Amino acid sequence: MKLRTTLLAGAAALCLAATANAETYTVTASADYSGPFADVMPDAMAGLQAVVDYWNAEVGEGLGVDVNLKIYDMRYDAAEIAKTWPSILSSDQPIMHLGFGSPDLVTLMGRLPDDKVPMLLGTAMVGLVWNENGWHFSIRPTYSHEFAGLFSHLQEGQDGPLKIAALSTQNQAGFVDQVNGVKQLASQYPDRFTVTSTQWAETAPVSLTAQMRAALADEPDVILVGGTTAQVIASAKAMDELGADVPIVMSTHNGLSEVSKGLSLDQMEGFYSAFSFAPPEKADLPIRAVFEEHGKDGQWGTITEQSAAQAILALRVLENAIATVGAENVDGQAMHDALLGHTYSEESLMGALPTLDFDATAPFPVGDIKASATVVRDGAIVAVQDDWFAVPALEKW
Amino acid sequence: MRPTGISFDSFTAEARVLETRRARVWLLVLCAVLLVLPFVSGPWLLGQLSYAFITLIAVYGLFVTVGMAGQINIAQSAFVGVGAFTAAKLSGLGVPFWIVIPAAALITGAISVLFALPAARVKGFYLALTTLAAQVMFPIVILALPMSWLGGLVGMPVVAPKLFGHSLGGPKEFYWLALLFAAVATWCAFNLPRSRLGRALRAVHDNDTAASVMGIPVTRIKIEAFFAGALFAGVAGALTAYFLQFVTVSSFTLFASVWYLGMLIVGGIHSPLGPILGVAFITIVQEGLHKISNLLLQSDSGIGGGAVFSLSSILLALCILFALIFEPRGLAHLWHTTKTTFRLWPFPRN
Amino acid sequence: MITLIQTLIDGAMVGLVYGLVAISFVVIYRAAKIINLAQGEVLVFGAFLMWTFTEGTGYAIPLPIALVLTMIACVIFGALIERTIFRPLIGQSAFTIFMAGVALLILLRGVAQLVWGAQTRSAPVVLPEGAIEFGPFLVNTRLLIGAIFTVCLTQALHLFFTRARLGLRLAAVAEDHTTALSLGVPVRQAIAVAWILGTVVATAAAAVLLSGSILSLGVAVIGFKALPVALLGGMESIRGAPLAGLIVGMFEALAATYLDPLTNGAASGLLPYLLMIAVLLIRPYGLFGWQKIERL
Repeated sequence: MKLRTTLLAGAAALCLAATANAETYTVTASADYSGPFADVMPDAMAGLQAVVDYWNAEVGEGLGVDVNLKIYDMRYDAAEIAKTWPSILSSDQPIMHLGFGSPDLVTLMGRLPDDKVPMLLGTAMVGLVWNENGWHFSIRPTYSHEFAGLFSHLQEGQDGPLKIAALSTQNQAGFVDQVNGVKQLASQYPDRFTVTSTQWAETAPVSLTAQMRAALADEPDVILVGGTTAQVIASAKAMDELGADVPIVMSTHNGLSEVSKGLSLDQMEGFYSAFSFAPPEKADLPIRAVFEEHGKDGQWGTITEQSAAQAILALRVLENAIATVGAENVDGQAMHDALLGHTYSEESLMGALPTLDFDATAPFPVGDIKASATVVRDGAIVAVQDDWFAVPALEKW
Repeated sequence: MRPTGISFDSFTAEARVLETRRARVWLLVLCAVLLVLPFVSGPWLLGQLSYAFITLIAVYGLFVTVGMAGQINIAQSAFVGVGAFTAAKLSGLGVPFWIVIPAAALITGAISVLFALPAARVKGFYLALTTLAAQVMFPIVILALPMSWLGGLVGMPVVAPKLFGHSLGGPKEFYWLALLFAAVATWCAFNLPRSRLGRALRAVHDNDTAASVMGIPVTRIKIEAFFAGALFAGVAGALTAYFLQFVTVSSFTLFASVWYLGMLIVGGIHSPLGPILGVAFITIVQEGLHKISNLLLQSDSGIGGGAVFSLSSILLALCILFALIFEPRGLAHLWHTTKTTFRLWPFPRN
Repeated sequence: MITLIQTLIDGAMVGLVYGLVAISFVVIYRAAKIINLAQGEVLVFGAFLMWTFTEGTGYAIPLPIALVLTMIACVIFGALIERTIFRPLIGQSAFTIFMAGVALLILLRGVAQLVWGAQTRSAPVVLPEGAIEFGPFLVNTRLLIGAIFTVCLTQALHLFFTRARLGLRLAAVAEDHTTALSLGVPVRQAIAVAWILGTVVATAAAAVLLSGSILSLGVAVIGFKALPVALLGGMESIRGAPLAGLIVGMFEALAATYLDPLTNGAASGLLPYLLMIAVLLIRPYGLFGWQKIERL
């Protein structure tokens, strides 16, 4: 079996080498066309594909390398990933896997070091999987880091600590972890941040009036709602009822453009969405120009930007791997070493991400972590500022 | 009905599941094919088959509770989840898999008894509702327990099973493991209806008043039906844990329970052949659709796979409705009639 | 003290929404003897229909006309379910009918996803937003109107089932299909009426529950929240449903406020189902149901 596979693979490689005269590497990607993210998936995959097409045409040709992006619909389902992964390994022999969300993370985290395939996620990390020597990485730090960047920016403009009220869902690991990280922030910098209260709510609540009343009792400066879009909308409505107007801080998966499907932008005035890739609305973004040129379908937006950023980092890693081991010898191990062994500048990532540095201590960028955010100002979604925010250093929680 | 020319000279011979030598030979061939399959097949097929075997074990459990005893259970997925979490916890403590799997089965069985106790008071729909409560309460309880007990919000990583120092986590090795347990479960499911307990279950299913008149302790039998069904679920759960190498509550939903029931109904609830046919049929339809959608995705045609999940749901639902309205005995009955038709050809059946 | 009373008010308001959904279970059971597991999906379907007529068509249809269209669509939808799924199963065992409900659940979920997609969208604003102040207490306007509506609907349905000729006939069907047929009660008509009532009430509940909020397939879980309520009130009792809703809603709110911090958030989630098991063990016919439950 093994011999046959090797022979077949060798023959296939020979054929390809003879015809295209270029080394072909496969990068696989998880998609979710039939789960909770089905509606944003076409844009996300368009973002990946556009950047890969760009790279093949502009960079890969010069290096004699062709990247084949292979998308698998994993349904956002751990069982589906567990079933599909062994066959991906043997039939595609990917040099890197582009993951999407926690099902990829929990299913593959334990296997990747043995399979020698690194995984790069576009979704933010969670503190729960902050392990050393993993083969799972994200282009983004944890949600809490991203919130901390924005909170730190907000706090700089005022005296005394920033009062944060959190609303989350108890039965969602990632959502609770966001709050834990922010609590860690408050305990490390007590003179800058306080968490006034944490309210618990269902993911699709009937009414959040009671929770909001309790949260508003402490007069918070911001309310953190990192859970679902429905929670953000219900929180905003509850505040209308209570006659309060406190900015809500959300993440990207329940971000401003998602929430604006259920609330008018006027009602969202002053709301923030925190993340750590460049705001898609930023002017003169090189990665956007690439997407506009090479993107076949899909709309530019938060999720498109996120996956474009994910793809460009993966390909820059490949360039470094080629420089180290040569165009013919790239494998998962080489990709892993190249990711950890180099610093990736904002410029080389086409402005999509801040300068990133990875090491084996954490599954996300280390060193000076940067974040960004968008805000609704005068009825439009704009970047809070053009520069990145510095994220206060956080210890593992 | 048996074909002509087959006669028995002893009761033992007549009571056999496989009545003829030819049937036994075919079974041996099937076993041999399944055993050597990993040497010729790729890991995709092995992964699908392994998962289908696990599903089959869970559906056998439903066959016992729902098909044989007539007690509706819409919490099979939660019971599978209990088995999975038990296995994850025990394997985390370093217990070898050949102890973990039976232990998971027993613990799952014990928990199912808790939810079967209302059988002493109510029956029919109302008993089904207690299983609904079990299904809904399962994730809430796991998540509320301290993280160090059952992983809470994070879930628990599971180390691949080991035998004499060899890991059984690879697709081939795991396939054989799943095959072994599926074979044992199949043996149990085919023999249970012929046992004393099996006949008691059937009697309760048909008419529990009559059953109690005949001296069958109806409440106890109903609870035993749940217990037996949950044993299968526990085994399936432990295998799921080893298969996914990670357990979280989000893998064990009400919707999964409903799918298990759907497979059983489509396959046929009255025959142990039903689960096999149901699982095979639904898996082929679902994975076929999924494969097509993946090909469409990779062919750059711009067609999303979004419709696939909904299409496979619709298809399963239509199959269930079709089975309920036109063929309540499911594919298993269809299989028997087709076989008879072929055997009697060119004469008409009946 | 103010917190306690406010908690109870909030719980009561939410509880009456559960009650409204529970009524949709009860009307179907009361008239057709079917516990429809897919009631949550029926509710979501109604909500999607409402969205289609208010926002989905691309034309600016005035709200009252859109609501009338929605109700007509619901009647057709209910009749369709009855005609295609449950009419062929008249006289079949309870098991078969229960399973048909399971199939309906899968079917509606698939169809909704295929037709409307899995994305979340804003639900149309049917009821006014905001809150009314009563001294130190706040009451959500949407839920208050919903509560008043629930009470009126309960009374109307109660009169229908106990005074109207058609309603009384439906009760006979719930007793036993065969007996009803032999007494000359048209079972088909009864079941059709049951489903139409069930879908219309579920859609009304969707309006109260979702007005101005978020509409997605996930909303269907409300069905499983309302099932314990229906059971507590008694599956045959229209008036029991809102009362049981009040009880469950208030206890849930109390548990959320006072017990959740101690139990890691589990108390309010478990409460309705523990209550359901307790009801099954102690008083299976519910608070106001008919005392003829199948018992051993």
